[in-house]
Amino acid sequence: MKKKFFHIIAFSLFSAYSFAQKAKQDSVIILKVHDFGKCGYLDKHFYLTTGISSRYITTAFYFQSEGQKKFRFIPVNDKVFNYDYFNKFIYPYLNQDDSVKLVVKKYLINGEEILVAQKVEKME
Amino acid sequence: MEKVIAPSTTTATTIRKAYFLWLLPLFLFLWITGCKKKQFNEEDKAIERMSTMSGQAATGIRMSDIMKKLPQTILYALGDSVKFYTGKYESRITDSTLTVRIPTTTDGNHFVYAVRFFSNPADVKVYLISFEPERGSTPANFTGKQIWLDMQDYNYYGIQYANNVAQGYMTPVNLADPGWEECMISNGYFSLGENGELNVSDEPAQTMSIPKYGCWEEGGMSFFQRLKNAIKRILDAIPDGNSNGTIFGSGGGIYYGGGGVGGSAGGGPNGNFGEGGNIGNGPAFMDESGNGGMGAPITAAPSIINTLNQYGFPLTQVEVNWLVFHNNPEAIEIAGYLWGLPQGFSLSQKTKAIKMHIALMTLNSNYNNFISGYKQNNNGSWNWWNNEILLEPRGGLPFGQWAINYLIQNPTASIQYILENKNDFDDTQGEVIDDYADGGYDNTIFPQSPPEQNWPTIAPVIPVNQFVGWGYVGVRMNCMDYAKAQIAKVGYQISSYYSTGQTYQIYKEQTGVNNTALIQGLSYIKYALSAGIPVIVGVDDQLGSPNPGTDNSTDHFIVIVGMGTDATGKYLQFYDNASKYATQGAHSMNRLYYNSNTGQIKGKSQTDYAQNPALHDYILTMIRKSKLI
Repeated sequence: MKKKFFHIIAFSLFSAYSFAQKAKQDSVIILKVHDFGKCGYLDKHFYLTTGISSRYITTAFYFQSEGQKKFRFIPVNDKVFNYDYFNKFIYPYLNQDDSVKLVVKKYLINGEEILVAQKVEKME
Repeated sequence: MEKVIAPSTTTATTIRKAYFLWLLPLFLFLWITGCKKKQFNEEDKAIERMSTMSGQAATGIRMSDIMKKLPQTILYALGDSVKFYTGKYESRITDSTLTVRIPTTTDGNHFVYAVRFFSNPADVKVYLISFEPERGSTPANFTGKQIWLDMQDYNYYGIQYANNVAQGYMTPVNLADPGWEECMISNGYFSLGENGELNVSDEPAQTMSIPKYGCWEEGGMSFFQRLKNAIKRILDAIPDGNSNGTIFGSGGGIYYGGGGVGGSAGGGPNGNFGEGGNIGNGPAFMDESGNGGMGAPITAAPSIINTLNQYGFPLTQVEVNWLVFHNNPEAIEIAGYLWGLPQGFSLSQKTKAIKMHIALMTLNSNYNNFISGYKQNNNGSWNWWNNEILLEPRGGLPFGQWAINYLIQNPTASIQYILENKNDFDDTQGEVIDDYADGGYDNTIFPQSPPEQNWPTIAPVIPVNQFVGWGYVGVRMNCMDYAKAQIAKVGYQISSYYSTGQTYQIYKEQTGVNNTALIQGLSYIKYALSAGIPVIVGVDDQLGSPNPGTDNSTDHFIVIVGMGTDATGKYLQFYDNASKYATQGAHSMNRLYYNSNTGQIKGKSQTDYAQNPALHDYILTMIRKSKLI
């Protein structure tokens, strides 16, 4: 009985932890793009938490946070990203430091919020 | 003196119980098939029995019912050596069963038996049976072995006869677990070779998206070969050279115990199978349209197959069988379409594509479902394989071939999944070494000099306004393809990775710098740039590599466009496609410096990608020769 109780508690804790690691919901952000290019290094926690296969992470939007020197990036989920639209209407006109409107999923990985681009939308 | 320990009473009882459990299916089988038989002329009141069947016999047994129980991979591997003489089938009907047997040889000793129980008509039981007569045996008085394989559970049985009386039985052997084939397919043990042949691997390919099944642990060539030989022996009794040493080889390993089944098995040789069509109203064996009276041999194929043969595409017997058994006109039509692929595809490519297509139809039900549904959903027209719409944008015929192989190894993956998403094929066109063998090789002889000597200054051989950056339209999103597109701007293509003298592997994470390759590689770059030829090189920028199968070091590909000397030292200038923008990717400070102490050629890219603190400076790993397009 005690063993069963322990398992239930452990499972509940694990579920709660897993849930906390999962994406909450999609958000829309406006991003000033410094570069669009090959995706930088992402460790295994990223792939484990997001459940996205490394095959689908090739590309990223690079940006610079205000007041910070270093560049950060938002990886693109190739599996769902609307490249057809992006390639036709955004990419050819995307100059350095232009802004794009991205639908992103947020993940909490090792205490850090990581965004993953799901879709690009037309700027209003 | 050796001490003999007798088994306990309990153990002995258990052994006996297990023993009888093995015998049960044996008795059942003998009862169904009327034991062994060599004469098939007596109808054994079959017509009378038919009258009580209320039309159940009309259900018949289709060849596809039988084929579903036979391992297609083994049939495919056996090729033309397997024949089903359906025109010579015989049938027998009782109140409870309909049995059909089809000879697989002309000597009347090898058969496929199919039994439909009317209590469960949906499930046709299939057995492979062989009679092995011994000296003195006659059709009327059989002496020899009868062996059979139950295709439901892959148990292998045998009985020894003397003058029609069973003398003993073979210790039953379980050859495989049911579902072994699906498991092997799922676990990647099968692949298709250059010419569409079925290969069996001892080390299955890892599937990224499909977890390995746990239902079957044994795998590889030896298992497959053993099973193939067993089936081959029963079907045509001509074991191939690999059968020695298996449980069926040279009579070794088969144990015939004494007695036990003689009395019960006494069906004798009196046959009660009637010739096809003689047992009454309604055929027992049907063709795939539901019509009875399979008179034609199975080799009579639909016209499209004849057409393919006329055009010189040789289908094996098994391939013909498959197409006929499944009566799949769409499948045949698609094979015809592949044959008619537009110009630019060689005969061998077409042949390979068709064979792979057929093999996939054999192995992958998902593929069948897709092609059936696709035609239905596209106004009846076939354009899945249409070169312009589907193949070309995804990489042409190689993509199609890759897709087929992928689906074979990942039976649960859908075609749509492959078409609509980035996939392994894209990966293999990217980071993985591109073995670009078409168009000959660059065998130019160039002067060789120590790295630090004769270091000219050469401005970029590709203008900045021709920079190909990340996302460049019409090129797959990976660095190798962008690098290839970059050198194509000035009329060059990459040479083969594997061909001798076309690649200089100057550095590996594990072994460091190779000085000989370094001298040769740098000499080549000096020569190439002097002649206005850009050079694709691989670089290492983090631990490990997406290329574990090759140098296990290269992470990224860039293009060397110039060289010179500055305050830091001697450098190679490069264009880096990791950025969309020339301001970063073609930055003049994208330089790899030669370190005469370590031999490494190392530097920093100005792209945002390379600023990631998790990456180290680029270290040049391999130099790939260029050649004219």
